[in-house]
Amino acid sequence: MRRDALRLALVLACLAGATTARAQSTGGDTSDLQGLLDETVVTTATKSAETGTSAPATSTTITADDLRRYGIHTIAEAIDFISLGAVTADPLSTVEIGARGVLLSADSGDHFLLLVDGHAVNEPLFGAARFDRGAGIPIEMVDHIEVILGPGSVLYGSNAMLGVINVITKRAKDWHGTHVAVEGEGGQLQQDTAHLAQLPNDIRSKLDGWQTSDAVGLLSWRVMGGVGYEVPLFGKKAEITAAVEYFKQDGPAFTFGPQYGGIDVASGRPVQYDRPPLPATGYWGGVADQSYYVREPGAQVHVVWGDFDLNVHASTFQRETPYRGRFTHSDVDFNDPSSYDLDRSLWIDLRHHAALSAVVELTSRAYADTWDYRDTLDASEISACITLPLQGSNPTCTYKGEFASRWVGLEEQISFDWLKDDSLVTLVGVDGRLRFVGSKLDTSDFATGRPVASSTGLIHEYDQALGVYAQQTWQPTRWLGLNGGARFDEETRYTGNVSPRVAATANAWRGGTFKAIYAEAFRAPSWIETNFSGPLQIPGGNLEPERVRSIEGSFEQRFGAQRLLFGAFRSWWSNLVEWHQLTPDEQKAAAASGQYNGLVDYGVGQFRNLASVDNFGFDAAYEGSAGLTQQLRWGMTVTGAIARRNDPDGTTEPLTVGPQVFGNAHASYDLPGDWPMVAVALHWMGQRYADRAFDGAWPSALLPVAPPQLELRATISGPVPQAKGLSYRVGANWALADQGPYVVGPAQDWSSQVPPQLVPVDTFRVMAGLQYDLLP
Amino acid sequence: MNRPRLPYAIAATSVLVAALVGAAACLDLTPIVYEEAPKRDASAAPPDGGTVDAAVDGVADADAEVDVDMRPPCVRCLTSPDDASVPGCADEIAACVANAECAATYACAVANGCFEQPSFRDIVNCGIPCAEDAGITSSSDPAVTLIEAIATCAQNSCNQPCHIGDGGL
Amino acid sequence: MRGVALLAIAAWGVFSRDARAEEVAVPEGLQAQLVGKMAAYDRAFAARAGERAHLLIFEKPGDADSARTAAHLEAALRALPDVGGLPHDETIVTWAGAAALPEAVRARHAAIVYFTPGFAPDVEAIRTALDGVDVLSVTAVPDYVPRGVVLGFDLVGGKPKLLVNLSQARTQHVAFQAEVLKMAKVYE
Repeated sequence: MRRDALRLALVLACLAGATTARAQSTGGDTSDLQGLLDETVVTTATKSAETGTSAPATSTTITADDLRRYGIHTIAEAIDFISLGAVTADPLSTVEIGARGVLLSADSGDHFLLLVDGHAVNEPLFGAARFDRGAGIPIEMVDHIEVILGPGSVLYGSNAMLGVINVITKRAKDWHGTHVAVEGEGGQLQQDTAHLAQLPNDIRSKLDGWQTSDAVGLLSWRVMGGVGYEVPLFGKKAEITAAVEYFKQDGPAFTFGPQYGGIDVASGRPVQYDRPPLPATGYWGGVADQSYYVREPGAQVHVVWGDFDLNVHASTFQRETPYRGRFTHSDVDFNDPSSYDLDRSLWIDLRHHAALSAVVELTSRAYADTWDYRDTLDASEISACITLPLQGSNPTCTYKGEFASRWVGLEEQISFDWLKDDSLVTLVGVDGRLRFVGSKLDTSDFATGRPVASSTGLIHEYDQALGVYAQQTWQPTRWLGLNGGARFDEETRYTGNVSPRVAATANAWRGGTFKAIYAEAFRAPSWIETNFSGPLQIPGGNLEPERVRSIEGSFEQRFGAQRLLFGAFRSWWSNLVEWHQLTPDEQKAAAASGQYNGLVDYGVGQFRNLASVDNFGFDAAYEGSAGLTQQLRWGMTVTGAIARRNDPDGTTEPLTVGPQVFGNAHASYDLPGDWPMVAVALHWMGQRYADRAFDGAWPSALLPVAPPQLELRATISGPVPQAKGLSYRVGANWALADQGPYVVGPAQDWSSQVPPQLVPVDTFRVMAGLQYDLLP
Repeated sequence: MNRPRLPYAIAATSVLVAALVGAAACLDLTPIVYEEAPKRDASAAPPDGGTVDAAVDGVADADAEVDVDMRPPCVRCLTSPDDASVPGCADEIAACVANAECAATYACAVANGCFEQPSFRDIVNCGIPCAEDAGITSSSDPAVTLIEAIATCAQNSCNQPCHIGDGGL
Repeated sequence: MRGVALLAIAAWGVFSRDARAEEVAVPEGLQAQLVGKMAAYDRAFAARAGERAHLLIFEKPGDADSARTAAHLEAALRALPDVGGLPHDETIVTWAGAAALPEAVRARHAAIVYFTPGFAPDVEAIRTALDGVDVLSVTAVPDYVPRGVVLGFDLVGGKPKLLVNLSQARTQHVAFQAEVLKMAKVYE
């Protein structure tokens, strides 16, 4: 009896022990689970949903929570403060974007492909895409932003040379109810970044009676209204998410100059930099209190109904740059509020997804876009208007460029999951577009508005573009994934272009992943580069597409809720399209062939395939969280790169504007209950050569270089106590350096013996906003 | 507004905004063809040093600016558009300005008051050192062609204000 | 001609099947890993599963989405070293109606039942059928959770989000630890 009891006790003890041993002991540690919940799901890298760890690319996902937490207002800010490897530069017009040490200034953002819910935004006339307020997407409607680094033409075609950025908008389930937000930013209304206050009186008096001011006030405000509802539509549930916004910014009023331009050789008088009746003093500069502003209304609608997904977008983006530069209104009157740029964008995209069988899936997309751009420049400088039949002794002429792109397209994509387990998948797609591009440049008398010359710069073209792509993914073992693909693109202006990619992903051990990727991408020359003809530009003609080849390797280690990444990359860029100033013989030949009117023999240029770039470097990231509900979160990135431009004449020089070393860091803490969330983000960049550093013939002591920059943003957000549905967000942004990497003013080179001046940076701004969410 | 209608209303508003943006007009890219106004008879040109006013069509413009241009009459004439009612040599000046050596010569001539000389010969004699300073050392220099173009135009269009024909070459 | 061909393919895709709004938000591989972890946080899982965890993946007959998801889930679950710390096996079962569900669970000693897309008309019946049945129900379709499936996964901000129907969990004797409930969106 005793032996039986003992035996039974032992058996029971063994069973209890075995059960305890076999069932996973959690002991309250949820870090492994949190690590899985921190895994990003990306769709951009392969046009299919997969984890960021397994995708054949280096990617960053910026969530809606990140955007709100860190006080982010635009795609550009999200890139600067949170993303790995990408960076923007702000010339006080529309931001420029680069990655991994390569930023090609004045490219209108055409080396990054911008997608919104998979819809390609870059237009064909300039290749332009906007990453700041000009994107026109209410930030509250953004669910997340996927930033994919490296060549992406294998699936997306032209423009995806530096990478692909996909803005995914929210579904109604994630933004339920009615939402209204209002926010404003304030700071010093006038920032004397040119230190005019230190000038002697006789010089200051030539700058339009400028007075110093320490006033602070409202610099910008924004209102937003949006909805997210599930509603019945023809008997089925539809999710409707929509938002409209209006953003208005005025200032700050930066000071510029003084830059002495001397005597206008065409008039024999001091150069007229200001609009008459202001006198011609020969001095450029003063306070630009009317010429730095933004007006942006935008709307975004996202409807999901069954297998259909509809997106509609509309926005306008009016802005003015408060200075003249080489590619920025080079003759414009100082502080003229009517010399502005205006984008308008409207597009619709309808997608349908169907699983035809357990093996076959079909995705269809139909889309239509219209985009136009107006560029207005008023000039009173005699040289700028001398060829025009204007009245009066101090006439002002207006140059207005009008540009439009319209296109419709259809994309079909079919995938075959041969083994029905995602281990062997073939994706084939075709994307066809019909396009129209048009432009003209008109000149008129500013006083009367009447034209004073026939239109020039005429483009009126229809063309077709076709892309065919294929991708094969194969997972031969549990730990190894292979990806290979290529896309063939052709259009009327160049012979076909192939963009391949091969990649391997290996899960070496638990949480550890190695990636190796080779990819190529291209940018089709824009119609402005190939076909635009103006007083100082002849058409580029048969330009070849720009090309990039890239190889990269990375290692990522996940341990619980922490993630560490280290990568290295090397890229070769060729056939870069750049501005070439014609030699006298080339000008004579161009005039003889009627390519331009031959009126001037200096300054005429043409876009050509000229330069190449060699680039290599590393990037690293570390992020993590702590606490049961991730109360504490943090992340940091750093990128170091060398990028050198090789000219046809054999000279080599660093790239300008973009930093070679940059990074960011962010941290936030959620206080419990109704207490706020506190967040800090910082973004830093090493020194940067200004845009005219190497073609301005500056003395070495005056080489224009922007100092290192550190930008810090602190944000506090949370619910308003005792006010259900109401939440607030307040923050401040501080920048260490007050200058950026763009040379401003008429002194664009050393020929006028005036030292270079750099674009000012808004160094301090505060922000406050309220949002009301009415949930049904 | 009850729940089912509100999202439709707001979504419809968003679509309407989109439509308005699109409808507010497709950009008109029709080229402008500029036709010059008929020129006045040269014999009706104002006297030496006269005002160049805004009356392009021969009809006085009540809103014409009062000309307070203090430049030498010769320079004023030279910088008038070639196809103005009182034609000048703006095209030729513009071409000169676009050539570094010619521009320097012209700027020097203006700064030194060469165009205020009493005769065309004096204008030329005054301008020669400017040309030399600008680096023009040979008659085959392209800048010389541009200067000659100005001179030819001045002879045709600005002979009075520039004193061409009264003791000139 | 190219355009006509593209349009024809598109039309074939659009009209060749009934439209359904049952989207699988989170990739099946990640879902499988999450299920494997979540099972360990169910205090009743070990007792329910015993020596080995049996998983049933229900497939709706004639539904391509369902077949595809079921195959992916089966492969992804099979690749896991354990589910809730236990050895495991998974079987795709053709749906035979809610009435047969409790018997299927009992007969196969299922610890976890997984519902693929295609069960929108059946979710309430499933909930009723599983009342009092000792099993963890999981779905690949987020919409099913508030309607009666215990555990599901959604994608918010590009990251997976746990969805838990707490009241249904109680009736099915599923007891998730408080720590994971704090990480989930909970439906009462």
